[in-house]
Amino acid sequence: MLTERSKDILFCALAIIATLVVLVVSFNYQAASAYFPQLLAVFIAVLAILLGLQRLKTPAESGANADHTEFLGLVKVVISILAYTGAMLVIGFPIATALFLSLMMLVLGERRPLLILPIALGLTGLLYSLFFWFLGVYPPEAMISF
Amino acid sequence: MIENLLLGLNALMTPMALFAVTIGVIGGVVIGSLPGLTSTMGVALLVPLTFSMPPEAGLAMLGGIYLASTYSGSISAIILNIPGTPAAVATLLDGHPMSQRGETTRALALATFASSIGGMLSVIALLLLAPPLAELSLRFGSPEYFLLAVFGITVIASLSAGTMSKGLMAGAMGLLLSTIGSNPLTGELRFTFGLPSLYDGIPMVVSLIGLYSIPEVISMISKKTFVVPQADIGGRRSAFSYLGEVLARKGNVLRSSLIGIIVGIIPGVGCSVGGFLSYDAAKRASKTKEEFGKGSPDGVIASETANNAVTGGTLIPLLTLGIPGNPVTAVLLGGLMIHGLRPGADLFTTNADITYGFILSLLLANILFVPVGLIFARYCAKVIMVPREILAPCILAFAVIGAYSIRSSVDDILIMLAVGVVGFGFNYFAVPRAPLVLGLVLGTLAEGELARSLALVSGDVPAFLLQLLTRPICIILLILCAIALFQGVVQHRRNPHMLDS
Repeated sequence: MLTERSKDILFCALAIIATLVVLVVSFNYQAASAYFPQLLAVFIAVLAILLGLQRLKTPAESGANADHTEFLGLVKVVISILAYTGAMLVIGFPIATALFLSLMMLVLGERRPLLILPIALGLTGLLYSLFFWFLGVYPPEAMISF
Repeated sequence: MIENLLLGLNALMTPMALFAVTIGVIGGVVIGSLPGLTSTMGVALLVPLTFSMPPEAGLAMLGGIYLASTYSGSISAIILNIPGTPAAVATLLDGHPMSQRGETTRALALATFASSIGGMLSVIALLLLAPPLAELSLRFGSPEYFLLAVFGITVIASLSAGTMSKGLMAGAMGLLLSTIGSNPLTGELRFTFGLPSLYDGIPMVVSLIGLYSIPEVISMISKKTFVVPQADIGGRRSAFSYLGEVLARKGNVLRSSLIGIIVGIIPGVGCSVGGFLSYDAAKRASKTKEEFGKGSPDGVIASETANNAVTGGTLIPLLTLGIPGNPVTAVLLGGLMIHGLRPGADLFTTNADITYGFILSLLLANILFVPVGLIFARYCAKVIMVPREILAPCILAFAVIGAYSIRSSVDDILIMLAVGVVGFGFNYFAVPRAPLVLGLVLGTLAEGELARSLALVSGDVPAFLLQLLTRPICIILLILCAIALFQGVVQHRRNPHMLDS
């Protein structure tokens, strides 16, 4: 989708924007608290400008083939984690985890129910025993308890 | 000394103590290999179990968990490119590339033996050199700590394969992320945007889980990772045959152990910094620098030797001065006090049998985790063969619950996800992640000690600079920083096309 040169330029642009945000926010803080992040923001901005200028001077590369699979992967992971977290808070950890594992395996292409169900239930049991029973971590509170 | 050692041996050679150290080692190997479970968690969890045990058995168990969990973070680092503990971040720089080219067993074996040797050398240092090394740790004041953090940051130049400026930017971003939360001196909240879960900053383990596991899963899902036929899993060559390979690299092992011990005796620095510094030193000393980051055995050996050597080092100020250097030793201090033991001279005289028994149990633990770790790792290595449609959801489930379990907070899952997106972005833009981790680790130390150093001279910058130029340890650190920066620049000019990690 983007060449290496374009990616570098985009990265520098994003870095500069991020540093500007940091600088703007940090002016609300006391001087003693603000100087360190401001120093770092300026340092990052200077490096980003230097790298960006260096990359702009290099000749443009020929376009790469469009590849959206990584971004699709990112979207799938973000949505699945958000859905899993939401489900944990509604129906509780065990059911949410078993459902999450089963559905994710199905979405990713696994079609053998004799493999999906034991893995989903087995891993749910393992995680529950390890974290909530053995380690004593308090499970997230669910709105609906079974 | 011999008499005390014999007393200690006598205390250790009881069925209860031997059983306790074995359980500690097995538990530590499992805990450390799972991202989201930490040594601190394991030690803290088992302290109450030790109430009913004799002190030598209880302490042996806690020591076993500490050592074994520090080592076993390398297992998931090598196999999955996800560090099990912060100590293993430097290991994955070369450990995972080794696994990707079909040498998983070799990488795991090298890590195991290197950890064992580093741990044993540091325990020997604890036995023989505890008092003078404790004296050294007392000489570290705020200016020394600040320069130590700066030295750690200059290592970023060396770690940043590819474009050095990207690596430095990543390191600075890590430092910037470390400023989230309350200022170490003024207590003012920064960049929290009203979220209580950020008041204490971004938890280190949560950010590690996000930074490494999310991009790996995305890579699996988008079929960018490929299962490489493993030449050595279940093959004829036994894992024990790799011990010779570690022993052949004596210089690397000794240097890394020394770095680990010195880093360990300085409270507040940590295993991950020891691993990075040692990795950097190994790279500088190597005649094949270009192999680092692509699967160099020296890289794995350096980081693993150092991070386990740190464990023995941390026990020096703990046992001699009662100064815990990290959260694990703070819990160990609690464990000592529960059993009526007060750190200091008395520990080595009045309670010599228990103290030396504990130290000898650490030696035993360093030996025990070799077979336990290799057997465990052999089965873990087969995880590579699991289809990605099954492995990816399992890793995500572990990541989510691991992130949640640190503070029993759902917000930490969201923080993990946010850092994971940053990690994906870094991968996409070919920015190395290791410098970000180092910046995150060192940021609080650097800023806090800089502020304290300036406060000591009432904000007088010239006076502060004079301190840096006149204190002996500061001078040594300044020279090391200059060498590190110079070598980093030279290295990048010679090899501009090194791979990122």
